[in-house]
Amino acid sequence: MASVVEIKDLVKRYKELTAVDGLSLSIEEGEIFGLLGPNGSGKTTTISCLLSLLDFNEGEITVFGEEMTPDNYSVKSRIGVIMQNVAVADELTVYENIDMFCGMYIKDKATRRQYVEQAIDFAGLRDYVKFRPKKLSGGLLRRLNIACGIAHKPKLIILDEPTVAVDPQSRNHILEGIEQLNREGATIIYTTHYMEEVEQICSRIAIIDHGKLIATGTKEELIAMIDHTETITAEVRDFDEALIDEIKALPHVIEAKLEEGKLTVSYSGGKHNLVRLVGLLNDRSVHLGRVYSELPTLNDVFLDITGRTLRD
Amino acid sequence: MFLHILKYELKIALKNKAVIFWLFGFPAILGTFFYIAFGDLYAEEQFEKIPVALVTISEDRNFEQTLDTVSEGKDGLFEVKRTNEKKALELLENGKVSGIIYEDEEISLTVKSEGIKPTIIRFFLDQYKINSEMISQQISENPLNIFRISDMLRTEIDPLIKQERRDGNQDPYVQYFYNLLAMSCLFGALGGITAVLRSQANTSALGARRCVAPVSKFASMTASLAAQGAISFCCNAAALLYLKLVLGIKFGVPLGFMLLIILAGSLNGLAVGYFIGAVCRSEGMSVPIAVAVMMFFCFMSGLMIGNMRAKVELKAPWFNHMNPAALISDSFYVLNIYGSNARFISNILILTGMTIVFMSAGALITGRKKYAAL
Amino acid sequence: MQLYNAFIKIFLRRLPSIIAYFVIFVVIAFIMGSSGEQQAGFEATKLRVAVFDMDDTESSRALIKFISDNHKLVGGLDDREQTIQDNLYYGIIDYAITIDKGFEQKLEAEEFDGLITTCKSQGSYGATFLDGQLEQYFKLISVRISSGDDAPQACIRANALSRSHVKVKTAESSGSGISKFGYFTQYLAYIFICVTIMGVTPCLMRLSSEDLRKRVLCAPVSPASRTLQMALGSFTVIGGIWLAFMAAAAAAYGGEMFTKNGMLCMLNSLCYILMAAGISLVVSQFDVSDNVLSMISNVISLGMSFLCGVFVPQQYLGSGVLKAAHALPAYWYVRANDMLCGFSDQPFSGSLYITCIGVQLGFAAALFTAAGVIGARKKR
Repeated sequence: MASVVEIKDLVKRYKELTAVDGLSLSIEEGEIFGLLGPNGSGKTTTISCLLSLLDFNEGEITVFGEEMTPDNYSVKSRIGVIMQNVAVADELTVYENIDMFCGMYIKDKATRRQYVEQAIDFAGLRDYVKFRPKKLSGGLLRRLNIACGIAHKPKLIILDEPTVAVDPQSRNHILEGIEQLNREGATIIYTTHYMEEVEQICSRIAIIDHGKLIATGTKEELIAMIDHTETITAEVRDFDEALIDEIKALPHVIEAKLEEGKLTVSYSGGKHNLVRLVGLLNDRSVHLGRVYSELPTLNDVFLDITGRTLRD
Repeated sequence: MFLHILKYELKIALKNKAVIFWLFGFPAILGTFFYIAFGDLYAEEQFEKIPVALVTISEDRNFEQTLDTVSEGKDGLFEVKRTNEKKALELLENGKVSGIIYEDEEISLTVKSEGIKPTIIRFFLDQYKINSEMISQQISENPLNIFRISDMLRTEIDPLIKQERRDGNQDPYVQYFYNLLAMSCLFGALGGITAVLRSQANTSALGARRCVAPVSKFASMTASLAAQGAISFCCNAAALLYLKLVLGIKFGVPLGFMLLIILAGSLNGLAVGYFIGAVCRSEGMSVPIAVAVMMFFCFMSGLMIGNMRAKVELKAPWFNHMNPAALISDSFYVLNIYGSNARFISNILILTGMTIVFMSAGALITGRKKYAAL
Repeated sequence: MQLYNAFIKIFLRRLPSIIAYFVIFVVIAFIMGSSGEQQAGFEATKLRVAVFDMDDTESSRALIKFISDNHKLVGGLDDREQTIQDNLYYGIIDYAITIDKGFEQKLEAEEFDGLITTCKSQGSYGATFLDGQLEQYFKLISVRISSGDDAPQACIRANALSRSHVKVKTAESSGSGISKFGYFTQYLAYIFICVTIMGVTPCLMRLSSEDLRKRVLCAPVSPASRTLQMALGSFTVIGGIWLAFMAAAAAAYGGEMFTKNGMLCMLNSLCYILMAAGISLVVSQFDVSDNVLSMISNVISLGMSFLCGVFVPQQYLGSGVLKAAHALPAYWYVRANDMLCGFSDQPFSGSLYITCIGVQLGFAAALFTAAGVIGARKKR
């Protein structure tokens, strides 16, 4: 598969801080590429450099195999951008806004009209075409923001935190829409600090922190990077501290600890871990409350690598 | 592409009713205020008879005769009210007369304050006194002179060649309207600021979106500016028509020329605003600065004190040549008084030159395609 | 005091642009103050006359002497027709005289027609007046020459004769000698409104924006305290602006300011800026952009100034306009100021002063109430 975006050793410094520090990424055609990182990790800066809005200090960026410059219109015309801040004109209606931005990419009027109509249906804004942005709810406004960015059917779509402050219904609508665009052939770059979204839709993920790439791969690959494969949590009563060591001796257990009446046991591989643990606790007459097993998440990956959680 | 952006910029601007209203309403409202305030001023300065009270203490037939002669007819100098002292003082206090002439051995005058009317009364009395003195002086030199003097005094002489002033509206108050239009042109700066803020990635999200589109910076910027310039010109022209047709202000300048000046002025305001917006980069900062600078220009050009421009001309003529408000209002004035001449052309050329300089400076600043920070 | 602090912080953020305003307006006020004296001469006894002497003889110099005895000569102009026209139009001069070449020769030849060329504002008192004065002067000369004097001699004699005047008694004059500071304070009527609307209104608007207001309303801050803190913030800023202008004036006009009338002027301006604060409070109740705000501030400040006699003295305004102006606070401000500084015929009257101050404070109170009512309406 051809690489759509190639970022090599990107460095961007502001006066006092280095926002992006030697970042390299390669994004293949047809991917939904998730750029995951906490607030302030350099996601938006990376995207702005990629779009050639920002000057950067070091590194190389190629898009569709060409060097990205502000004047590279052939490349720009194939990119659709959805900014973090809603960028629409308050004075224009929903339809006019989409048409205005679409018109900067598509010259032919008939094609443009068709594209705008499709974008309206895509974003579910059919009932609101005559509305001004101020009349739209937060979720609808985000959808309009997206419609403005994708109406021209770009091959590469960059979404910078499109779901910030969006209700769950609109969020699902947006995520489904992104998957649909991808099915229709667009490569997607999706930045967010919501790992659930990334887990849900992204085919490949890069985790960045402090401007550095700390891990990249599919969700499975990332999770495979960390040791534990399963975490079992049990609410316990009448628990004897000495039992901890007995639990640690069970097969595949790598960590066990008791906090505020909650027993947490981490495993690395193995099968039937839950049955074995519950059996042991029954034997020792420990009263059990809720017991559940969790598979590791990207948050665990992030925690494992940085020692912080994503929401820190 | 240019046309596409232009179309939408115009649409945006036209939908923003508040801005449209103010661009047109601002000069119209102020113009109406001016009209109300100055409506009668020039007329009042035209000559009319001066009311005086005459209090006779001891009769001087000669004096009374002279006073009557100059007060005769429609063009007479005075309107004389013969009355007693008490009544006269009352009239003076109430402003019904401008002075009280006491007819006595020696004629004297009482006025309320200094001013041109009391001065004219005094002048008349002085002349009477001087003439009487001269006659008595001449007679004392040689009594036979009396005949020649009365001859001489009777002969009309015409020592003054009174040069007529130019055609055109000599009403000095019309210049307030010139300056009002100049101000409203310069307020096109607000449009210039809007144009910058809306097209720059580092000033607005909308600008960022425009920057990632495959549209040349030049096309996008010029389209924005053209739209704002057109809006500002149309609003100014509408305001001008309101002043001319509704209020009936006599500008003394053919409409076509007025529109030309307004065009040059609007573009100049636009360019200055573009430059200020490019330097300041935020609405909260650039609008007050632009307004303060514009008001200063307008002040120096005579918006508040009518003859400011002429005073500046005496002390620092160079400033008038770089003050856009002065250039605009002077263009109106020149056309009113002299018709199109070299001075008018030079005004318009300087205005246009400034427009080009500020446009280029703004373009240099905003011309960068990548930003150091967003 | 959190809200108060926020208010001050927002104000300080905007300080650079407000300083730009302040500097420009102080400059304007000073220019207005210094050009004020010439303004007063608008209707003074002496006309401003420009003389261009092409003859340059004893007689022509005597004529100039005669004019300068009675009027004010304005020098430094060139004799181009456009210069004369422009300066006449703008009232820099009232009258222009060109003494043509051969002036003295004509006198010697007892030719008294077409001696000098004059140009004047048409039909104004001043111009007609000087026409007559000059004709009279040449008549005197003609009499002297016909009785045997040569031209220079006749001119000098005529000058001497012209110096005799009738006795003039002036009923009263209320000039108080604080005219420079007076012009400064007069134009503050315009400037204070601009500066407060551009300085205070945006801060108030930001703090009463939909989201912020809701947040504050949810916080354990009573509405009374909220209003009080905002008011306190406005007063701090306005007090600061007032002090800054007074300090600038003190630096320039020091002594004049601290006379009795000077202090009364200051008090007057303090009441006025309170009223201006009321206006900015009302304006802040409407959510408008910076662009529109600047236009509103200009319409209110310029419009009121013109109607109330800030720029064009009240005595020149039509009586209808003045009657209407009674309904505007600036009228009362200017009236008090005119009285204190001797710009009008009005002699000092304590009760009038108190009326003027009272009306302004009344306007301030009304505006504050109006802002409160509009604010309360919006809440629902």
